[in-house]
Amino acid sequence: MILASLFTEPVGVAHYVAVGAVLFVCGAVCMAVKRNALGVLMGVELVLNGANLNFIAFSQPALYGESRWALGLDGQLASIFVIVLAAAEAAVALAIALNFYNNFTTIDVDHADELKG
Amino acid sequence: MEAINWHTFFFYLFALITCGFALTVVLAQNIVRMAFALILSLGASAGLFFLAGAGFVGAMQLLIYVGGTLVLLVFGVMLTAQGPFVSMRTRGGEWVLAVVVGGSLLAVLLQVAFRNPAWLPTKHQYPVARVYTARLDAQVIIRARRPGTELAGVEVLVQAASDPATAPTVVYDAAARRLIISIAPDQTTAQEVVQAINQPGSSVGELFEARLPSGHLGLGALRVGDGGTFTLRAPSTTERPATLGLALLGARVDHTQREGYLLPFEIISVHLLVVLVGAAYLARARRRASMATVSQGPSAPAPQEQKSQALTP
Amino acid sequence: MTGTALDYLPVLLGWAVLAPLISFALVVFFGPKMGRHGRLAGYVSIGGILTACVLSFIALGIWLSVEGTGADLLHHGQHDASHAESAHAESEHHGAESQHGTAEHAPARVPRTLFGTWYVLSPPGVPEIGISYYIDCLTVVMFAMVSFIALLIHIYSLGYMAEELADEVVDHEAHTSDGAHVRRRGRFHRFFQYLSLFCFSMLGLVLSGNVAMTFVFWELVGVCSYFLIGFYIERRSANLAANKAFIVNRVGDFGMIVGLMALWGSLGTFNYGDTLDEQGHVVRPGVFSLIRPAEHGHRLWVPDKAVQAAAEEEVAAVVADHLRVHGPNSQALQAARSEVQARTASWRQGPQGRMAYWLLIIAGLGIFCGCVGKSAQFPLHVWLPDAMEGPTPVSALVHSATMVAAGVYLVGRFFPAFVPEVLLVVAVIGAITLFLAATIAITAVDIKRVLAYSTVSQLGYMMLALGTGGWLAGLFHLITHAFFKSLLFMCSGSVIHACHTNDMRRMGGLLKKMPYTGYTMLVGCLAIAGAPFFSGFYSKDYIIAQTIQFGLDNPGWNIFYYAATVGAAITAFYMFRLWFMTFLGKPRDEHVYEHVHESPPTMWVPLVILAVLAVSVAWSVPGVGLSIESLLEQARPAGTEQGVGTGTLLADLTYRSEHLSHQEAIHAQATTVATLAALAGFLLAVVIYAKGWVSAEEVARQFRPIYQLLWHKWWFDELYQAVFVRPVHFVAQLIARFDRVVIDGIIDGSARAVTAFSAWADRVIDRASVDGFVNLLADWVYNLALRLRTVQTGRLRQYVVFIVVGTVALFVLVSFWASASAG
Repeated sequence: MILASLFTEPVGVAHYVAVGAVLFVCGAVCMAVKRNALGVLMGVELVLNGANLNFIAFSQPALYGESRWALGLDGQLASIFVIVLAAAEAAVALAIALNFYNNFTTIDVDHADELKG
Repeated sequence: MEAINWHTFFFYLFALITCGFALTVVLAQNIVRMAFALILSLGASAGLFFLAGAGFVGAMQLLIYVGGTLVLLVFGVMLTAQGPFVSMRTRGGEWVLAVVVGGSLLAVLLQVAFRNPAWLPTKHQYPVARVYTARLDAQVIIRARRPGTELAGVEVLVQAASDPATAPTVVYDAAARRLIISIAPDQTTAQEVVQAINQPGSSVGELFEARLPSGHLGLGALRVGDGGTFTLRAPSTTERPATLGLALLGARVDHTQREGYLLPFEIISVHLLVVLVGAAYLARARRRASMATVSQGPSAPAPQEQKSQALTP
Repeated sequence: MTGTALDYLPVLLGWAVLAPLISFALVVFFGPKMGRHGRLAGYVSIGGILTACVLSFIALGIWLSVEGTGADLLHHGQHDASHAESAHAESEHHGAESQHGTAEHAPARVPRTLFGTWYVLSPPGVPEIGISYYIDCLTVVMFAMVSFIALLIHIYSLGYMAEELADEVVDHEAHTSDGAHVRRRGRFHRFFQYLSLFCFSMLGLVLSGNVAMTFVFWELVGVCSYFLIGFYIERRSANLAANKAFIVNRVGDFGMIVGLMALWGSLGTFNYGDTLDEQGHVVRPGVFSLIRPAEHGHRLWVPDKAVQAAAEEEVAAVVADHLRVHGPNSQALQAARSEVQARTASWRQGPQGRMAYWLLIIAGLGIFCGCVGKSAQFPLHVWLPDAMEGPTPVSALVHSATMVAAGVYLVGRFFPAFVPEVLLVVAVIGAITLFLAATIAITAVDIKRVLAYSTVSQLGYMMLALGTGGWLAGLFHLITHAFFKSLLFMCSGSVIHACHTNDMRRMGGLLKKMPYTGYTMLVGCLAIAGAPFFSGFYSKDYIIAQTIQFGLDNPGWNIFYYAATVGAAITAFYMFRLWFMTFLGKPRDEHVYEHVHESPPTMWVPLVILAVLAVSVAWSVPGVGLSIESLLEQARPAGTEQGVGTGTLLADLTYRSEHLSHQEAIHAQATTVATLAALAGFLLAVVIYAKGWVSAEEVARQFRPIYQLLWHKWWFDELYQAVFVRPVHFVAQLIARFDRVVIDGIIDGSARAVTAFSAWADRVIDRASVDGFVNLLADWVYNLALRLRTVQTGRLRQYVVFIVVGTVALFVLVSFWASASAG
């Protein structure tokens, strides 16, 4: 019954934002706990994707109780920029990770502490 | 029992996949598995994008993220997947700290998400069938409401910027299978529209070329209530890639009072180019000559160096 | 104005002035790049002066076609002499009143002059100074003469300066500190650049239409002379000579500035000619019209303006009176002006009139002072012989034919503005100079110095002629002298070019080896000595005749006649001494003789041309009667035809018409005496130097004191050294010591005080306070950073946790704040 009412009720922006929040937190925790630099990188991707999901949700007026709050096309455009930037970031971060690996022969970010105070 | 709201159903489906595999990414110890879970998670989130009416962005998500970025990541994984690095354990204390901190953040975020009433759906609102894009200082929202199983009428709301008080009329051009909304009063009733929509084989997606008497296209969203003729299939005329492209080139055809994104687009393009050049520069093989003289990390045994040399062209 | 072809003259001559300037500019900027070693620079310069020459001769042709040859004027003048005689006798009866008389006898002839202003420098309302021109026949003749001789000398210089066409020139007369010869780059183009600048300046000087402009060009030729004398800048002697020339000229120019101030203060204008309006009415009279106004028959007349300037106090009193009565308005000034006009006549009779006359004397003497410097007249003659350090073409152009003659030219130009007393001074200076320089030339052994003293002497002749009222005689001699003296200098240059020495004692017998040079120089010697039918013969005749006439008019002043005659004899003697020592006899220095060779055609062709002219320039063209005299006669200043006038301070000083000296009797006497004198000098030279019947050394021993006197150039240099240079040095040393001890002491002391104070301030304020504060701050920051650095663990993952914690904390804070503000 609960399940049935769950599927008959419409979803709104809040639901999407909740999913985005879960993705964001997963990404953040991933960054915090992964010692592998590539794992950290994946966390970053998750964080970015969570943010992206928020943008998409905000862009859709039909998801709002009051549609005038919707971002419209601007939300989608912002998300496109985020995707592009994420791609760029991934390329650079991967290059950095590979360089780091080549120089230190390890992928453990805990060894990358030469700049510590 | 009310009909299943398929939008809601698919939303939950994709949300579950997304969140589940995101958790898998966090919890997995093996880097390769993490990568796989990430692919699934991001793919499912692309489904969410489609669901929210952002078909183009969803496609981009699949193409760029899943198709490009993650492949890159997988390459990185393969290049660095040496025995000890495939799975690196993290200390328990760190886990606890991360989960506590992350959990508090999640609590805060969820609270914020559901406390804003504007973000919650109203009871009688309906899933989005489509958004169509056009060019006018008006936003047209078409609500199709059908109590019970019959599509009783179409309620058309036109918020025309020029004169909000003008009552619009809707004409359905059956031959062209088009919904024509006109500002001037007309004899055509909403009933005809309803009949047209109810015709077998008619898909809602094809209705949307709202045309105002001045020749301007309107922007609107049609909400079709309670299943009925609702179809999930992403219509070809929802948000058009052309509209997005025009907005990136600085021309807003959907909303004339908003600015285009030409300059950010240019900046992001140049940025992308520079970043790729920089990435290529960073990743190129050049290090052996300088490695002999420059001091390195203490845990850099010679055999591993040779090994990594063999790996990089 | 006239509507004749003469209207083209200003433009023609203006371009003639500018052409050398253009070539100068070209050579200055592109000289070293013009061909190998700048060879083309010479051709560029020649192009400039050739343009000027052509334009000048076109101008001369225009003048002749419009104004005629002037031959009738000359003959009319001679015919008129008796008439002038009677007119003069008549005027003597009037005595002092003759000044007031309007032209009751034959109206004075006014020469055709063109005056105009191209550009006015002074703002409107003040007396006009600008770039103007003043053209009469004298200007045209001078243009033709200067540009023609300059053209020949440019061509000659191509050959003479050829050794500068090298990357490295060894100067055998200049030594570096270690005793070696100076080696330097060739400076061919630089020579021509200065030569072009000089031509521009000289032509501009001739064309200039006001005294200020004249003065500017006057100084320009001076500075060109300085550059050219110092052309061999590595030679110490050249340096000293250039400085000497410049400084000695400063003395003369100082006097000239005094004269200009007197002129400006008394007349209020610098213009030579009258400024006319469209109808041809005089708007502003020029200097000459003011001093010799037409309404007084162009007689010498102390200008009203000068009288009013002298009566300054009275004028001020009149103006003050009227201002008191009428108040400060234009009516008062008008009334004052008319009253001043009315009372000028009475002032003229009083002491103010005498003072105004003194102003004219001062102006005249001042301007003559400048001419003394420029024309190397006694007592400023000492620079010209030293100026022979410059290259010989320079000596030929600048220091014999043109620049030094500019002084004579200026005296001739100002001739109508000179009162008799000034002219007497001119004559005295000229006579002293011609005798002094001629005597020094006897003993000189440097070939160019002989010519230099000869130049000084001849310039003295011209001054003497002008000073005794012989306007035509002086300027005629200027023209003829320019030709034969530049010829002589160029011949000597040719000799020096061949011998590489200036010392006549090392020459001898060169005639065989250098026939062109030798014979052309002989022509020059004959011309300057006054051999019959040579150009010098005619002009010197005029001068001697003028001195005879002057002696007749002013009994007791026969001294000029004697000086001129003796000078003529000495001239002939030293010129032939020079020629004999150089070209005849046995070679005294075999080494020199062996290397002698005839100069290249670029050098001897101009010599031949000049030699022809040195003979014939004074001849008149048969049939038309065109001659230099006839041309000059056209330019004779208005009012001087009947004589300059009578002295006011020296009442019995009389200048009568120059034409009187052209009477048969006087002329015959002059011709005879001059020829005999020249012959005597020539024979003496033959006896001593050509034939060797009398040994020069014996004569020198015989007259040892006189020889010493002449050898040491009358000890002028030593005298100036003792009287001027030493005291100046002494005073300068005193001042320098004062400078070092007192002024430097004060400055050093104050500097030390400032240093001490700033050291104290540095210690107390800067280090203790400012630095202390800054260091304290830095210490704080440092300690804080030491504590903060522990946060920077370098652990990436910790940073992420920090970020998340920060975000959550921010949320919490914001929500607390929101709820607090809401609640």
